[in-house]
Amino acid sequence: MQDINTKKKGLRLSDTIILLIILGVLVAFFTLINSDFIAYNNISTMLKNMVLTGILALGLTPLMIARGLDISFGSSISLISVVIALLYTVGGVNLWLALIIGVLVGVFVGFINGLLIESFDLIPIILTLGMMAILQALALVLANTFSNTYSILVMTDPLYYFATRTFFKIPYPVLVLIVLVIVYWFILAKTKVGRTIYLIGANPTVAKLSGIKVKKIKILLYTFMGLVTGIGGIIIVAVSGVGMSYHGKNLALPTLSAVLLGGISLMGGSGTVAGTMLGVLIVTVIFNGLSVLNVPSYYIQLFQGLALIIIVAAYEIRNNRAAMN
Amino acid sequence: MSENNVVLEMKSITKNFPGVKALDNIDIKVKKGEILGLLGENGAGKSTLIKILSGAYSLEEGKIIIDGEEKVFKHPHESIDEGIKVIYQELTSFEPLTVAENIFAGETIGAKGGFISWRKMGKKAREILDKLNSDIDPFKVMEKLTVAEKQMVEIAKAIHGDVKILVMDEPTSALDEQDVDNLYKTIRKLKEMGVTIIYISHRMEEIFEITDRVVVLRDGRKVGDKLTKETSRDELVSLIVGKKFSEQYPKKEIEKGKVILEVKNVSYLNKVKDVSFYLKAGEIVAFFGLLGAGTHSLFSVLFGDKIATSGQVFVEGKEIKLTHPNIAKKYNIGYVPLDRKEEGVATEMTVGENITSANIENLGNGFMIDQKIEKKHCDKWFDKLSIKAPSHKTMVKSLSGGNQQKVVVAKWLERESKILLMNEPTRGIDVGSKAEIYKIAEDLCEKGVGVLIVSSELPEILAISDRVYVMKDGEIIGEFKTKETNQEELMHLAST
Amino acid sequence: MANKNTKSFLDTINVFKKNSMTPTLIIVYILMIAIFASVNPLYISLTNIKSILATISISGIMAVGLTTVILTGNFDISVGSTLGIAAIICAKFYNIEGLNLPIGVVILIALLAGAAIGAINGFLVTVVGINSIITTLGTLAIFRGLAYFFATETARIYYKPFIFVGRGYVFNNVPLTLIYFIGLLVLMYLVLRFTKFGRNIYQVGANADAARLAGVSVDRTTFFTFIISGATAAMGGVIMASQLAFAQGEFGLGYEFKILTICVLAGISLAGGRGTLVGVLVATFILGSISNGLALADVPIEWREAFQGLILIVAILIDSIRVRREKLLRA
Repeated sequence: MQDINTKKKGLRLSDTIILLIILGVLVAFFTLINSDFIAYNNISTMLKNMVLTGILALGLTPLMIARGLDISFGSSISLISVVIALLYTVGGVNLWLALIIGVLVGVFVGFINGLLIESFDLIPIILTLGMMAILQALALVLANTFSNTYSILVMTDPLYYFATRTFFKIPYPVLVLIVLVIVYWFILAKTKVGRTIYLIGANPTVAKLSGIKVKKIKILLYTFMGLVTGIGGIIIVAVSGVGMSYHGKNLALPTLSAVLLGGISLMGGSGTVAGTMLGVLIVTVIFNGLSVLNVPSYYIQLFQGLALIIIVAAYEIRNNRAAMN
Repeated sequence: MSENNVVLEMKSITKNFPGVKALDNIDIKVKKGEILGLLGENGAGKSTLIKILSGAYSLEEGKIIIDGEEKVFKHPHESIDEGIKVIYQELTSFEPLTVAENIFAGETIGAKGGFISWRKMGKKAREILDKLNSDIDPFKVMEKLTVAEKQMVEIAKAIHGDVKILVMDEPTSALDEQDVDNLYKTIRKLKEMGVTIIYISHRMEEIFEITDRVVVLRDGRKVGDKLTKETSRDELVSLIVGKKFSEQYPKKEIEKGKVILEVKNVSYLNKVKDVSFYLKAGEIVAFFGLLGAGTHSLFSVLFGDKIATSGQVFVEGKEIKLTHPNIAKKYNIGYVPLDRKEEGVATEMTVGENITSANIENLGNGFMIDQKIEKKHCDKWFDKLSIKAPSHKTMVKSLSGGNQQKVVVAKWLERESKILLMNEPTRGIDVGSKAEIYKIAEDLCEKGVGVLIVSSELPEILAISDRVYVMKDGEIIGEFKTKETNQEELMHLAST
Repeated sequence: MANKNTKSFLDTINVFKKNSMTPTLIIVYILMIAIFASVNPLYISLTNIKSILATISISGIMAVGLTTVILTGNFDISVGSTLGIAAIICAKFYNIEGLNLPIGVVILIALLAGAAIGAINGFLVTVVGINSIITTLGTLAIFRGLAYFFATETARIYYKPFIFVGRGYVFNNVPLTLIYFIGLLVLMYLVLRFTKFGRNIYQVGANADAARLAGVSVDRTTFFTFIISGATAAMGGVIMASQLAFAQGEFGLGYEFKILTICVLAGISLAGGRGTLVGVLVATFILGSISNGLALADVPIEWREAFQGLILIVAILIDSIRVRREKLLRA
């Protein structure tokens, strides 16, 4: 299909091939060391792990294409999971209502992030860093005050079924991811909204002078990032069966790495849903592979940092080279 | 006048940019203590030549010979070390720092051990500024100065220390007559000291006042090299433009319609003050003013990019509140902005995406973009404006300046704009494209569109406009019918 | 005219410049002390003041280093992890059996390690060209991972002279750490103001292109500021290890935040090129006094962290409003 967007916004074909080769090599490597790696059980664990990173990376994709950034989603997920758990267990609220309120918390946080960043021209990473601290503290305080513990059990049939059962052999959380992937792909590649987002990222001044309400749209994108964070919160509660104030702690780096690996640049204007998902796949394989190999957790953190730097450095070096020619 | 007096020789300098030959085999020799005027339209290649001399652009073909020795500058710092100083048109100041620091940027002024003595730095800065007859306080923070004062600091920065060749790129564009006189005195003093000066200016009177010799560039080629006293104004003008402007762009008589835009007492901060004017359908109205006169701010306000602090704007008799460009768009106002690369086109997107960028909502029914419709829209403008690009999927950054500008114009024609604001629409584009842009403006007028133009090129204003407003310090200080005025009158009014 | 010059010279070295944030900060500080003291009179007791003075120095020292980085228009958020690594290096090297390294050498190794981490950051930012936030976000994780790796269990250092480094007092009432802080601050103030390197830092931050044109080596200047930031973060680590007499992988967790908040509150503009260390001094006192005051007022630890996030956000809001107003006023 000759899509007008594929010309530059997506990964270049060569990039995609390189990423696929990396993926293949990684899978082969981990399988060689431990044949359990491609066992059905591990694959299904991997898919479930991938869901959360995938959903968050999807939310970041349009946001970062439009030159925004949010790193508070980890703490936000912690808070959301705690809110849902507390409402359901301590508050005795109907499960569905609790879930909706949880999602609304995420939406609200995203909206506030966007509102502050866009109305005061703040540097997104700094504001969301501050937000991260506040949300983390809120999660801790709420959990402590109302249940005296960091993790609150949420035992309900619907959530348990959602986490464990399948729909035509596809686990429900994976199904959610698939639906979101299709929605985001459709919006970015096919619609007027998508075009507007790319235009904002390519040059916000030009976008504004084309009569586009740049600030409004960006606030909306932050709000949608909040929405997918809320969905992520529900999934983490369902899969783990607890609401915990440290749930989202190690999500920021892998998600950011995945997005950047998938060809999104901090300068905005480029990136596709397909690229992002490829990035998510690779990052998931790496970290799942490491845990299958029983690598201690501090190594994982170390690798997360290394991965981020290597990914960005690789793109940066290539860009420098391209600029020289 | 012997050959060994030559300080600088630039030999067969050629420079290519994507799609444009910016410089084509340029040869220039300058003698010690000579003041060389460098003339040419915007886009003729003056700035490129200077940037090659200073090492800001790399030298691809040709040679730079200084005092008989061939030099290759990889970095501006290397040319500074050779005593080549450039006062760039876009100011390169450190806004939050003091005047003294700006003058001595990158150096240590002071006592033993590499420590800075602020007192000494202030005193030295004072001396240099006194030489320029300027009373700017050396310890004032740069961002608190006026544009003219900043220009003065740039000059002070360039002339201090060891200077062999001084390049001044339109140094007077923001100065009033008093400051210009002071500048001339300084330049003559420098000449006596044996400094060679390359003086770039658009203003003929300055060229005849101050230079010894002039070199004229046109479309990247050297088309003239004359001693100032042996040439005439008419000769230079015709060298610069090739043909006489009025011959080149004969103005068509177009029937004027009703008033479509009326502006009443509009102000914006201290940059636009109480401005009132009108525009009729089929009319081209030009705004002329020197740097800082407020013409650019006025256009930003008229397009809603900046919000007027007071005043009213009427489009076809209806008052509109311009709070955002999308309001302007709604009332069929289009805008071709000043800085094409930063404000006009998204260079990393395709031609098609740019042409439709103000019209995304009409690319099909509902949410989706219909690519057939998009292609149809684009192809129409490809033909009408003769945009030279392989297809609408070509990236804008690979187009020449003129074609990029046509893309910007196409974007607003696509919206069927009734009022088109053009801010320096021909800056940095080649002569051919210029003519095409003028033609487009004229065609639009015939269809009942009103065009407002800001231009710093008087010949352009005189050739294409119906009326001219002259601005200074944010105010309109004169209105003329183009036929009844001339270049001298307008320039005199704008600069005094 | 001479008269005018002297006056304006005084003007420039005047702390209370018209658009400086310092006077506001000092007023805020006085008000704050009054409020905390009215909640808990112990707040202004000698013991408590001593404890405030002793605890603020770590963040103060690190803020001085980070300031140089921010002045060039970059960020370093790896400082917390660098602190952790330096503390652990102190403990580990001191405890190497049979080597008996003198404590001075141990401290020097820790500081050099900090400088080396700074050099890695600087290399990635200037040579490879990665955005400084992303770079240091990565190194933050890497060195935190390494810190956990080396300190699988708490490493103790019971050695009086080492402990004295962080816990000692001169004249019975003045903590040694405060002297390091003030000493470093004065030194860096002089460097920033009276040396070529210092002025280059400001020029790079104010307008990197213009600095390059003026022959300033932008990359080298930026590189060195990262080294300074790494070294000061390591100083923080040494002091922390000495104050607590042990080291853990968690040391310095979340410090990037605290330090960034101090710098922003101090009026060091995130855009680079604006702000002085005088503001850093006052901001360090304010932030240290707040966390101490909140502790004395029995505010739970989690809330105190939330408070810090809040202060950071308020500080960047003020910064943004200020920059915007300046832009508008500029004719």
